[in-house]
Parts: sequence; C-alpha cells; structure tokens
Amino acid sequence: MKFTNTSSHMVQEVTNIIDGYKMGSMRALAQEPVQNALDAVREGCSTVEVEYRLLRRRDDDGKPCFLLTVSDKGTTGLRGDMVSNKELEARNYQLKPEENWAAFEAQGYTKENEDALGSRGQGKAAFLYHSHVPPGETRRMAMLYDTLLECGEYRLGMRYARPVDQILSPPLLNAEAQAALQRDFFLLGDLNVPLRLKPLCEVGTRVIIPFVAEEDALEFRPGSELERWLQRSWWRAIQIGKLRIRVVDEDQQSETEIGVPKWWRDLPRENSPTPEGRWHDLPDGCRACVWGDLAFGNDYKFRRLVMLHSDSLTEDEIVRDHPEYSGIQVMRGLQWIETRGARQDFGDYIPPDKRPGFRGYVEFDKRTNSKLRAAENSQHDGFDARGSKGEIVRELRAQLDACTRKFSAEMGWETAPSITTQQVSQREKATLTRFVETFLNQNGRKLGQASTKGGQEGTRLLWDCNLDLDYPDPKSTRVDWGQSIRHVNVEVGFEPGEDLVGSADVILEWVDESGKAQELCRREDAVSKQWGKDRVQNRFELGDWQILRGKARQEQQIECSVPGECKLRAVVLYRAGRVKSASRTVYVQSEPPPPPEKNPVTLSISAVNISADDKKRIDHGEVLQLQINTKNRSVEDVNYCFTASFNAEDHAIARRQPITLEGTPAGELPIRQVILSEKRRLFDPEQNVPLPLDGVPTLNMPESSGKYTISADLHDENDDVVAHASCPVYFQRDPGNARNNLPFEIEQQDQKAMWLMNEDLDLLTYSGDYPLYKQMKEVQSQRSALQGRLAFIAEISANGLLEWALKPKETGDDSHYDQLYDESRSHDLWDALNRGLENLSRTAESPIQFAQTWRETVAVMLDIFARENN
Amino acid sequence: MAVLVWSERDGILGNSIHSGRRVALSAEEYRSEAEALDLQLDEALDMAWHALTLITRRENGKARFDTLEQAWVWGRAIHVLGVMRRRGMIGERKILLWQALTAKAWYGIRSDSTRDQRWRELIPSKSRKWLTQPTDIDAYRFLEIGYWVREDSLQQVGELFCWKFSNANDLFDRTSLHSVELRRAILHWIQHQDGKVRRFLGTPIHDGKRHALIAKALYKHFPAKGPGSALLPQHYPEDELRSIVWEVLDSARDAYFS
Repeated sequence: MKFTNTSSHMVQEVTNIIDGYKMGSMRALAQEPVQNALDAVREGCSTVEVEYRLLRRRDDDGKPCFLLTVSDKGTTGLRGDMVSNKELEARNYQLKPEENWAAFEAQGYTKENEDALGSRGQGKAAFLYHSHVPPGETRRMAMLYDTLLECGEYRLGMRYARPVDQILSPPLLNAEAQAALQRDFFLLGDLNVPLRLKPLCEVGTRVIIPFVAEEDALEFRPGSELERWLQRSWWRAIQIGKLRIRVVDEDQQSETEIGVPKWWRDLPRENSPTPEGRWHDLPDGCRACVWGDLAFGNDYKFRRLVMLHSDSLTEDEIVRDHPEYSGIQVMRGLQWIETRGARQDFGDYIPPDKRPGFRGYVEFDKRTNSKLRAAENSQHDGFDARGSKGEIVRELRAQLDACTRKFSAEMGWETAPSITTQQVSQREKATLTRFVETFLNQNGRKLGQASTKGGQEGTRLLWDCNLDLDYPDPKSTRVDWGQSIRHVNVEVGFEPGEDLVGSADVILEWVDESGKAQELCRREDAVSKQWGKDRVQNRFELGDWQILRGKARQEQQIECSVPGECKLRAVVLYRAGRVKSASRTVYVQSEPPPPPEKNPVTLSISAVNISADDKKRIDHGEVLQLQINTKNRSVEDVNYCFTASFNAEDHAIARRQPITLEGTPAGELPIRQVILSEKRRLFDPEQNVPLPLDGVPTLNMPESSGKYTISADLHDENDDVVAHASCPVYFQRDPGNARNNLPFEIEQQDQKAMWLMNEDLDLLTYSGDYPLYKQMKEVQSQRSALQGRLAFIAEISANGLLEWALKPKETGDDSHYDQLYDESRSHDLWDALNRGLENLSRTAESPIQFAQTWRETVAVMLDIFARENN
Repeated sequence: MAVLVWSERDGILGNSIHSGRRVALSAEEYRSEAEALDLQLDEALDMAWHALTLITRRENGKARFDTLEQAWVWGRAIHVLGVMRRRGMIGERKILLWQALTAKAWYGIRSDSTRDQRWRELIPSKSRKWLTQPTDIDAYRFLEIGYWVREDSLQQVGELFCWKFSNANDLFDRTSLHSVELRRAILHWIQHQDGKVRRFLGTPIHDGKRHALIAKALYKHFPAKGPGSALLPQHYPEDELRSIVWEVLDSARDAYFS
C-alpha cells in the first residue's frame, strides 16, 4: 500500500476547523455527514437514511477501544474517478459535480456550479476530530471510508493525519477492500486499526472513525448528546419524510431513531398557510401561529413561519450561550442553521417566564434559500449580516422581529413589565449627539473656533459684541434712500481680560438683500488684553451712514440700489476667525413685517457650570454662572416687575423688581437684554468650605445632592405673569435621562408617529416600524453624515430640537430657544437658520405658514449638519 | 462616599458596597468608609427602634404601629445622629442610604453580623420587595417623608397631618410645598381652627381626603413649575408667608363650609 503525503498539517487544520463551530464538535458531527448524504441523494430515492453506529473493539494490546461508523443509504455513494493531486492541480482545482470520491479525498477545490462552501474540508474534519490515535506525543487522527457504487464497484480509502496528512493512494478496490474490512486489524501505515466490519450491502457510503475517546463514546450512545444535536439539526427533514437517522450502540445493543420534537408533532399539518397568520389552540394551553408565503425585504419570501408557546414546555438547550430550540430556528433548505433566541433577540417582546416555552421555526422559498446560502458561514451555524450579501439576513431578522412582536401582542405579553424599548444603535446615538453639538449653544455664548482656553479651571475667553444705531424712525427699521442710519456704535467685550493672545480687529459690513457682504470700515488691532482686568470692554463710534440708491461717492455712504431686507453687521476677527458678530436689520425702501402678537416678551435663563467646561452637573466648590435675559419684540418700551429665585436659596434672587424693557423697531430681530447676571460658588453642606479668594458669593446647598430649579417670572401691572422661565441645576448628581450634556436622549418605541418628544422634553422617540425608517439601509460603514438610517435620525433630531426649543416659548420661556438661536453665527446658512427660528416665533398664529417655515428650517439644519460634519 | 448594603441568600449573609461616585474599578475601594457608616447605622436603627417602642400605642398587649410614627422616628434618628454628615454619605444621593437602612432593618443585620429582628418593626410595608433593594425612590417614600419632617417634633407632625401618613404624603407630593417655613405656617393656621374644622380635616372621605384641600389650595398659590413658580414659600418673610397661608386656607375652608 502506498500513502501519499500532502503538504498540510492536517491535525492543526482539523482542530482549527472544528474550533470554528461555536456550538462545538458534536454539532459538527451531527450536521456535516447528514448534510453530505442529503446532497448526494440518489435519483429515485425519496428518503435518505443515515446511521451512526458505535462499536466496541480491542486494539492490538488487547485494550478496549471504540469505533464510530456513519453510513448512509439512498445516496449515490462516493462515485466519480479518483483524481490525484497532480491531476487536480492541472485541472486548476476544479472538480465535476459527480466527483464525490475525489472531493472527499482532496482539500481546497471547488466544484462546478457550486460555491466554495463544500470545499473547506468541514465534513472530513467533523469525522477526524473524534479520532484519537493512541499513544504518542503528538495528536494523530485517522479515518477510513468505504463505498458501494451503483455500478457494483467497492472502494476503501483511508486518511491518516500524523499530523502530516496522508491518504491511501490508490484506494483498495472490490474484493481486496471487502476483505480488508472484515479482518480483525487493518494496517494503516504503522498503525493497526481494529475493524471486523461487514462490507456494505446497499449503495451508499460509510465513514469509519477509529479510536474514539471513551468520553466521546458516551455521548454517541442513544439518548446522549449526539442524538439531541441530530434532532435539533434535522427534525424538519425527518418530519417531511426526506430523512431517517438512527443511532445504534452495538455494544449495549440499543438503538433509537431520531424523531420530531413533541411540540412540533402536535401541530396540525397546514398546507396553505396565509401571510396574515393562522392561530391554532393545541393541548395543554399551547397556542401556535402559522404564517405562509410571507414576503419580506427585496422580494424574499418565508415559505412558512411558525411560532408556538406552551407553559408546559421547559427549556431544552445544550449550549446555553447560543440558542437552539428556545427561539425561532432558521432553516435553510431542511437544515437548521441558527436560532434567533427568545431571550437574546426577542427579549423585548417575550417576558422572562414565557421564554422557556417559546418555540418557532422559519423556512423559505427556493430563491430566498439560495440567497441565504451566500450569507451563511462555512460552519453552517450562522449567517453573516454584514455587507451586501448580509442584506437579506438583516431583512429577515427585522421581519422575524415584527412577527414576534405581533405574536407577543396576540398572546397578551405586551403589557408584561419586562418588555422594554428597543435598542437604538450606537451610530444612531452618535448622530444625535453630533447633531445637537452642531447646533446647540449651551449658554448663549458659545465659543467661536478661534477662541482659546485659559489656564485655570477651564475658564475660557467669552466674547460679546453689540451693534447700536438709531434708525430714522425709532419704531421701525425702514430706511428710505437718502436717509441715514445715525450713531452707529460697536461695543466689544471679552473676559477674562488677561487671557487674550495678540489682538482682535473689528469690521463693519453691509449685507445686501441677496446676502452679499461688503466691508464698510475696519478697525485693526482694536481690541487687546489688559493686565489686571477681569473684563475688557471697548466702544467704537463709527458715525452716521447714508443709504443711497445711486453710486456712493463719499465716505460714510452705502450703495444699495435694490429695496428689501438688508443688514448692517459688526464682526470681531480674532486669530483669523470670526469669533463674534452682531447685526441689525435695515429694510431699505420697504415696509418691515409687524411684531408678533403672542408672547412679545420672553424670558430665558442660562445656568452654566463655568468651573468645569459647561458640564451640566455641578460639584462641591464649582461656580454656577446664572444669567437671566429677556427679549421684547414689541415696538413700544414696556414696564414690568421681575421676580427670580433659586429654590436652593432661602432668599429670592429678585422680588418684584421693576424693569423697563426697550422696544424693538419693527422688522428688527429682538435684542437680548441681560436683566440679571450672577455667580454662585455651590458648596456641599457636609463638606469643608475652603476660604473664598475670588469674591464669588458662596451658597451652601440644602442637601449633599439634588436637582434644583431656577425660576423667573415677569409680571405686568395687574400682577399677571406675562413670561416665565425655569432652568434645572444638578448639584452633585448627573442629569437623569439626558446625559453627556444632551438636552434629550433618543429611544426606539412602538408608536405610530415618525417621532415624538415627551412632556419633559428630555426624550425623543421614533418608531422602528416607521415605513421610511424601515426602507432606509442600516449603515455598516459610514461615509457621510446623512447616510441611510442616519439621515432619518438627523431629520428627527432636527425636528426634535425645534420642538425642544420652541415648546417652552408657549409660556414665554426662551431658555431653550436661546441655546439654538445664536446671532454670533450670522453668515450664510446660519443666518438662514436664525431667520427661520425667528419666523417660527412670529408665525405661530398661522398653522400652515408655521408648518412651511418649520419644514424650511429643518431643511436648513440638515444642510448645515451635512456641511459641518462631512 | 459609599454605603454598605446587606443581603441574604439561602440563609447566607452577604454585603456589597454601593456608591454613586465615579469609581476606578469597583465601589469596593470605599469599603472602609462604608463599614464605618454601617456601624453608625446600627446606632440610628437602635435609636429609632427605642423611640418607636416608646411612642407606639398598644392594644391588648399588641403594638399598633402607625406609619407616620414609623416614618418620623427614622427621620429623627438620622437627623439627631447626623448620618447625612458622615463621611460615607458626602456627595451621595439619599436613595443609597435608604437602600442600606431598609436592607439592615429588613434582615436585622448589625455591623458585626449578629441579627436583631426587632428592626423590622420600623418598616411600615411588610412587602417582600425589600429583598430586591428597589432602585425607585418612591419605594422609600416613608423614609423620604420621615427625613423631610426631621426638624419637627412628633407632636407638630401629628397635629399638622392630623396623625395620618397619607396627609403627609399629599403635601410631600407637591415639591413647591416642601419648606419647613410653610409647614410651620400651616401648623399655625391649624392650631387656630376650632375643633369642628380640625375633625373635618382629619376625616377621610370615600373619594379622597379632606386634609388634601390644604395641599391643593396652597399648590395653586405656590405652583412647582410654570408661571407663578418663581417665588416659593421659603422666599417670603415669615409674617408675609403666614398671612398668605391664612388667606389661602381660610378661603378654601370657607368655600367648603359655605
């Protein structure tokens, strides 16, 4: 006999292959031989029979040893020519479909009309892994295989991994093969393999695994683990009569035939299931629903989906990490591939006490089966949901999710307390965070990009810029040709006064009706640091400016030939960036829109932790900067009383303090007027208070940790509240839902609406079933900010942010609005956003106009988001 | 900065350290502080239990526990012993202390692992939920309320709430009405009512409680959120607050009796 060496380290290869089976070697042994047998079904045979037989022999030292044989009937046998390695190489590693013998012996080939799945030696490895050739320092494996072909030819081949891979070449044929099998021992290289087997009488194949380890042999007996894996993998093929599997223990003289699990036996056979699902009440309170011809995804189809629950069923799992029966078994062809677990995948819909009794399976039409096969892993125990091939898997899982939810609702489980909301992916959460960070201006004084941080406790340079001017008519922004805008003053401030590096320029520019900017004048090095000053404030008087229709011939004249809404803008330039700007609207030769009737006066509160980079939580010893602002959109000045309090303090911050709010000329964007600005250093009452050095007033909080509120009211002369604002302060505790400084978090929820913002404005929810969301692709590798489902998340984030900003305005509270509206970002799209926000404040009385403005503003926000994040 | 929470499984005692602070690996790093606090909690529980045995009425030799009294002894003991000022509690949310205290009282475990089942009498609800150490603050309402009225004597609390825990609960539900100044002002008003009104306030009716009219009327004047919430009772001088309370409650009473 001549053995041919191949170049591979076969033992290592086999071990690697079997290690790839996440449920272990026993599933591989239950799966691979049967799969090979079903693939080789003989024409005219409706049923394939597979037999696992355990035999006890003695080795040449007289010690007991075990053999496992796996034989099949109703198959073609290992037919086809024997192909040598050299010949295989010459044929470019291509085998014909009927060349089973060569396929069983070779490694690394592909078959015509097949994908590469069968060529990785999974079947061979499943057998060899269980052979432990004794004794020796290195692990060795052996197997023999005999086959009786339809033509009457008998072959016996052998493979010996020592660890180099050896195969018997050529194999023993006919009488020689049969004689070898019947001998007590067979010399395999240097090894005596006990055989004493009867030759096959029917066409088929038998694989003989010698030297099975004793502990493995126990698991091969009827009623042991192998039988359980065989049932899990093949019950459906057995149920419809395509397969019979027997497990025989010759030594104990016991045998068993693999049957169908009892819960599936009771289910009546249904030949025409409907896509709507049909319910069945079974014995023992068991209920089942059968769906058929149910389309999903891109024209894929469930041939049958069955779900069943019975309280009398208990969990029957071998490997607890990966579900087997407990869940929905996904069958590709007639073979179980994976299970979508009742706990792991449907835990949101199935309460814990119902999970042990939940069972299901799904099978597909031919086209879907073949697509699924492409996404299947080489171990046939899972699908890859990534990439374009995985699209079908993602669709399948989404559909199973939807059906399970329906099943759960019908079973009355939806009200179970364990049912939680669905998961939002990390990418989706990140999109919301980026979206909010793009737009939100935490305290109305967000940094420009060129701003710098100071050294102490994260303090930073805060810029202010105001542009003052007198219109010809103090109550209107209208300026006719020939008229002048008088007393144009720019006031620029920053703090801390010592932290400025270099100096800043101030420019005045005219923005015409089309948005085109033209520089009018520039003051270079106008703002610089001043030692010993907390705050630097400079004022520049820029004189009067006349608007002309014709050409400007002198200084201090502005040429504007087209009537419409224009702007005069002051910009602070610092280290090549626009850190702050302020603008005033001018309606040239046209009438400005009237001020809003509803809530013309609003309040806003910003409460910021200036010691720790604006984080929402304030810890012991950190400084809270409190600022209360107001906006008066009406033309007239108004007199109100102002009251404010912090519920951590015993005394009110302001109590019925009279204030006068200047009117805003018609057409002008209202200017924020600061009515109160204070700082408090907050202390834990139970901790030591350090000696205050910076003059910031201290406040001992009532308790060590808690959520407090700053509230403010504006009263008119009748003591009616005309505007109210409030703002939470989180002392030594994290904000509840909205962590990481986000104003709200995002969650998936079962709801009809595309998105919803909750009452407390801290949770944005959307439906995973929303048609638009479902149709968009899940993003696997992100290339742009608005891609697939992330575009949907950006869209609802924009809507959510608008509702979050505008809803408090109903009580005249601008605290949220002021974080979104930022006049310092007053160029191109940002200007459009500011204008949209202001229009939304104005048009609340007309629902249609409001909705139109809302849509336009959302579109602008998406444009800005894409531009800033791509 | 941490508390020690006891548990029992199959008769075997165990404990774990809970902390709301950021920890490097686990809250175990604060074990020594938590154990020191646990020792002080023994003292608080002993004090509360002794106070409860003194004030609890007995009928036919059997104690008739009252939730308001149980709540008050908790709050008073925690206040008197300064538990909140202990190192272990600095910067912590109260719920952690409630978890530690209820677990100790429920299982009756002292810091030296000896058992004292009497402490269970301090817990108004005999529900088995204490085995799961609830994380919802509402489960510890009796402790929250006890701690809220910690500065008041039992007589004051009893008079204020007509000796009914549910009346305290009504007022506690409205967060703008939490201040001690307001409680004093309400008590002052109640003490000046005649017996008929006081009996009326202490009588439950089938669709609610008459005492609740106090909370409802005052909440209208001092809402917790929205317009009008900028000034809370504690922000008024005592005389002004007292006159507001009298005015509001007189009109509520008169509206009912007219």
